[in-house]
Amino acid sequence: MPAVLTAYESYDALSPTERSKPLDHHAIVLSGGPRADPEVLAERLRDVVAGCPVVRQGAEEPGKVWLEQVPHRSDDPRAVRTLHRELLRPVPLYGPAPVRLVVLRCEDGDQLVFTAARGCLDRASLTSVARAVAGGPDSSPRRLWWDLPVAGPGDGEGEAADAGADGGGPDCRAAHRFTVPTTPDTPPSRAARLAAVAYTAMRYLDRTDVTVGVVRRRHRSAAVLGAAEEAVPLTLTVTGADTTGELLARARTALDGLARPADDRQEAWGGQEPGTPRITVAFDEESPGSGHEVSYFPGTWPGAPLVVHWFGDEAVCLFDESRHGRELVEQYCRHLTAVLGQLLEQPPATPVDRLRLLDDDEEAAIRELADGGPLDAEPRCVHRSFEEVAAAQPDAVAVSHKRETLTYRQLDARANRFAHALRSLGVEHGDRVGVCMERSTDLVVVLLAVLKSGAAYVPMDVGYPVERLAYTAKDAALRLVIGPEKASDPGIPSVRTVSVADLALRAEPEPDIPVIDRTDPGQPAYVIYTSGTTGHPKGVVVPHRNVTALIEATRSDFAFSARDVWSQFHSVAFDFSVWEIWGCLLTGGRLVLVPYFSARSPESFLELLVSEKVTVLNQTPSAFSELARLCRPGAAGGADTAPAHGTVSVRLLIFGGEALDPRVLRPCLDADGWSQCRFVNMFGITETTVHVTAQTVTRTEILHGDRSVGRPVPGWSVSVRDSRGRLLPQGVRGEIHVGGAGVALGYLDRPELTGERFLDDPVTGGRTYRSGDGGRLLPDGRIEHMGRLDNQVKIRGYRIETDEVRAVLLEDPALSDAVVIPGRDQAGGLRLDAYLIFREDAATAYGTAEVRERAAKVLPPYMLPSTWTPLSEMPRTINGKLDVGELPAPRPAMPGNARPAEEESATGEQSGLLAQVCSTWSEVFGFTVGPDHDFFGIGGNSLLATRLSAVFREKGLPPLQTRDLYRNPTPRAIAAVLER
Amino acid sequence: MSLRGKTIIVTGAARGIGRASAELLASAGADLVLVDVADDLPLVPYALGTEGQLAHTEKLCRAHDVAVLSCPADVRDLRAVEDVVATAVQRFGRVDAVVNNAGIAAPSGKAVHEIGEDEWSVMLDVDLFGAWRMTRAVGGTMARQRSGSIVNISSTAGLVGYRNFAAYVTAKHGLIGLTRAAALDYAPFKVRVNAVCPGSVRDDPVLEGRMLSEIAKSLDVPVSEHEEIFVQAQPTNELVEAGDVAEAVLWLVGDGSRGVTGSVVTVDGGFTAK
Repeated sequence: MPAVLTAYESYDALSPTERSKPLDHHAIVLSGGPRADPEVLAERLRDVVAGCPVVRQGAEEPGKVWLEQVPHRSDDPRAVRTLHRELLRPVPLYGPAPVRLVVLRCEDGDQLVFTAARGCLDRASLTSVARAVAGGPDSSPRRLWWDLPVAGPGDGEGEAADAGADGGGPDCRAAHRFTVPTTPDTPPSRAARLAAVAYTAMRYLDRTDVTVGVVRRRHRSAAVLGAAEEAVPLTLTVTGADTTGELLARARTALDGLARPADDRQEAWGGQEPGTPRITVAFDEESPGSGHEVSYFPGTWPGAPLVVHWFGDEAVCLFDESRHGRELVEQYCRHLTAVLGQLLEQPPATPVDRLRLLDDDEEAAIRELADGGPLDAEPRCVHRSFEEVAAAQPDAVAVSHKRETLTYRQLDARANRFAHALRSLGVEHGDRVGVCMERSTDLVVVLLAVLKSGAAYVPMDVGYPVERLAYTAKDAALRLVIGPEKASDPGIPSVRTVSVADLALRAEPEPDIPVIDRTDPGQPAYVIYTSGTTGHPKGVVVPHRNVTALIEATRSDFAFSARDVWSQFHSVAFDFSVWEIWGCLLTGGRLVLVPYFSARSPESFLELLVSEKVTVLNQTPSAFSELARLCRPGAAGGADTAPAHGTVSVRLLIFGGEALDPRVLRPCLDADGWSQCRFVNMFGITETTVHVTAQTVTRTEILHGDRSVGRPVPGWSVSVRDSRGRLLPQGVRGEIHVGGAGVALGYLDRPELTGERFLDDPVTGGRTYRSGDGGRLLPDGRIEHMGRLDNQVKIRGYRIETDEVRAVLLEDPALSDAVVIPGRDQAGGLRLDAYLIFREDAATAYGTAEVRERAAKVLPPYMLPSTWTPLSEMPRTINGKLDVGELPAPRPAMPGNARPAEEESATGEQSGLLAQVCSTWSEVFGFTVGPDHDFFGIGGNSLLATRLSAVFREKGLPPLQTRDLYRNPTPRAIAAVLER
Repeated sequence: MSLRGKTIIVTGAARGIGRASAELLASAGADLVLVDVADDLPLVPYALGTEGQLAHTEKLCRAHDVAVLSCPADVRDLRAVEDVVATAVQRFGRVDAVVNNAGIAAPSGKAVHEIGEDEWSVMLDVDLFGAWRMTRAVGGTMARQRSGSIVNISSTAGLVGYRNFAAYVTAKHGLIGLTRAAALDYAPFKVRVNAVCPGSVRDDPVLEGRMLSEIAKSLDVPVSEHEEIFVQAQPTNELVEAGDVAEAVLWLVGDGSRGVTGSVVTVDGGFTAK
């Protein structure tokens, strides 16, 4: 009877508060039988429950039958609503009888509603009870035995309210019904249904195996009453090479195995294996005979995050809405239905890879959603574009550095002369020229000159070590390098270096008209070297047209104009500078080069921003957090250091290069000057020409810490795919791929790597780049960036996003910054190391131990960093990003006020055994452990405990039992125990 | 349907504020357990709610398509009160709210030294101890549920005094004390206890209300003009409607008043603000 399942609609209409008290009961509805006398039913009910071991008290009547008159036919919507209300009514947490019977007397017959707590009577038991009470030809008065004791009054106190004990929030149950295709004669087999559920989950999770709990009953005989259902975990593994036939066969085998008792069965509902998806599948039981129509209402099965309950060609998905969004669940059900249909239709030899989650329409919709839209821009060369701007406003100031300025006309002319000079030095069309110069107006001249000469520039930072520069020069096969000012510099070995002074001399006699040049916009404009997390740096080759496309794509949204003043802050070797320089010069603005020392002092930088009236500021979040500190009242510290400058004129602040946690902008919200500024978070990669998406960050995003990176800019597109490159459904996490006008030509001289990362898109015919960043597509087309895929760490089986841990730490009001990176302990296991920067006004009594304590209230134990090291500032690379290599050795959490001297003495002179124990612990943990450090407080776990015992043995120390360690968790206490 | 899925017990449900509240709660989707003595008490000089009136309230509630149980019971009988709660739990699985509305206005009209011992007792037994018994009977259930709302119908007589009305005033004052104390007892369990203080509530013939005229008698106000006389003391220049009181009850039983406990909501047209 579908009316039973439609009760879920009524359930979903309840408020979330109501649904957070989930229905841990279920019901059987018998209908179509003869009209029954309530007295007779009551007597039978009393008989059945008489044997039930429950403590009764007071005037409760165990066998009460409630009769409700329903003055409608049973198919009338009002009667159906009444039935729904009965189904949704809970049974008392404790009670006189395990079953409640309500007779709904409709005009066309009785509906007998038997309700029981799932923890007391399982489905088969409830059906047996219902049959025995309703009578009819099939119900012989056989003895019914009770298996499990039923909860009495006072038992289970408060347990319903504490549902959701996994450490997540309160369980908020929701239900989604869907229908599945059926072949004309038979419903899909259980194996097919199980396979569809499992395979779809595998695709969502990007795994080749998945464990699904399948519900079965421990007792075969329906005469045994009690709660004997459990979810047996079955693991299905499928690789791309398998066929659908093999998948079905494996599902069948797994189900057959259900009938046999398992040896090392994991717990039913409650068991949590980290990293194991918790999907449970249940199949409707057959209930033949008895003269009644039997319908089953499963309730909501609290405790299991996602349950798919199958009923013939209908299914209900019951899920915890606080964990899985409704849209995602509905989508998942749609996809598994599609997969089931394909499993049934396609021949068994079909490769599993051919199974499609998304149909053509859905794929097209997803692509469109994450497409930045058309970009109406003719491909142009950067220098040609510049020349047009220069012609339109020749006397406007183009670039300035300290007191030097160049107008557009002057810049153009000088660059033309330098271009001729380059040609005379042998630079040819298509060459690559290294640019390794100090910051000055001539730096911009040289970059432009290289382009005008028909070559591509390879920017190199003067601060890099010589080996690195030599590597770049060699790898890029540079024709020459324009080197720093001072001719006395040794230069870069193995490549011809010309100092900019020399180049200027050569340029003097040259004409100031453009070089004859046939550069095509599709040819390289620059090659910027990036290092991945592994391996040597590689050069990304970006053509002219990508740069001009980027400017065109962003020009109108950001309203760039000749009135804008841009700062040029970032190293030329970092592609953010490409945006700063050409974004400005191709839109007619004035470019202010930030002098070396100003870039390193937030106060001077701020002064520069004010004095030069910079309107467009580009920053990495790390760098900006320094500036943000200055936004706080009183942060300048003292009247004589208070900046007497005015307010900033920045109208547009663009973040790039790193993930932005918008909460760093909080101090700016109402600060002078900044409150008028538009903040934009842009996600971008060098391989797709600086930027991909843009998200304006308003007060709302700042207050909520919304990390969305927005939608792609026009001409760019984004897709989220699994590790095999298949498009993933919306809302499902995967790898971000970027397509469109920004995709670079590839890696210089690395055809294999280029082939791996730059892929051909069969659908659009274009190329896309795999970013290595995790993310997912939101329903409105924005991308949620979920951190580098390699920022994900798996620690003891738990998948952890270090960004998530960092976000929690950032909420500590005593901290102004924090970073979390994976580290290794001496047992070879992974752990998390936290580095913290305390605010100046933080109380000295508040140390790293207090930070840890606070975080421990929010983070699950496996996500809590093991070490907590305070820093005075974050070490940064030339690009402004975090320099992981420069972080100091990690330390255990210490309470505030602990001075380094105290730390030292704490680990100083000790008795022989204590010293040995301390040093053993230090060895295993990888940092200095003091005699009173708590094993768990410094990040100890069972793995380290085992390792510790082993090392004790190796060193000939008295044996250390794990239970001793757990009971005496400090070195001092252990030493005391061992001494006995 | 903001009270969908909730089960609410209303005492004194046969008529007046009890009937108005029950019907309003039913219209919001709650299932109801209607309690009334449905009989006369020997010491009370006027007719109390009848079975017919209780049945009529039930009928009005059923018209909103909710489940309704009528349980005639005397709130002076602890056992009977406990049975009502047990029945409610058996039938509905839970009790989400209780409206302690049962109350009598007489025997009154005498100065303190003139009040007989059993006259004093019956007033307190119904108006104060009745609420205590019901609170006692549901408290454990609600605490186990970790949710619940108890609404005690007190009166402006619980805030200020009236002449020749000491027993009623004492009981209604006491009811506020009970509200606050019980609120503290149950707060850790997310069970809330609040009081509503109606002022001069018009006896609506549709609700078969009676209280105001009985109070008029006790206060020596001529019954034929009692409405006009009470109105003169109302800053709003009109009497309060039973429906207005029911709206306060509706708010307090539901999740919308989640942060409210141990408090008093006065629905008196400004009478006590003077």
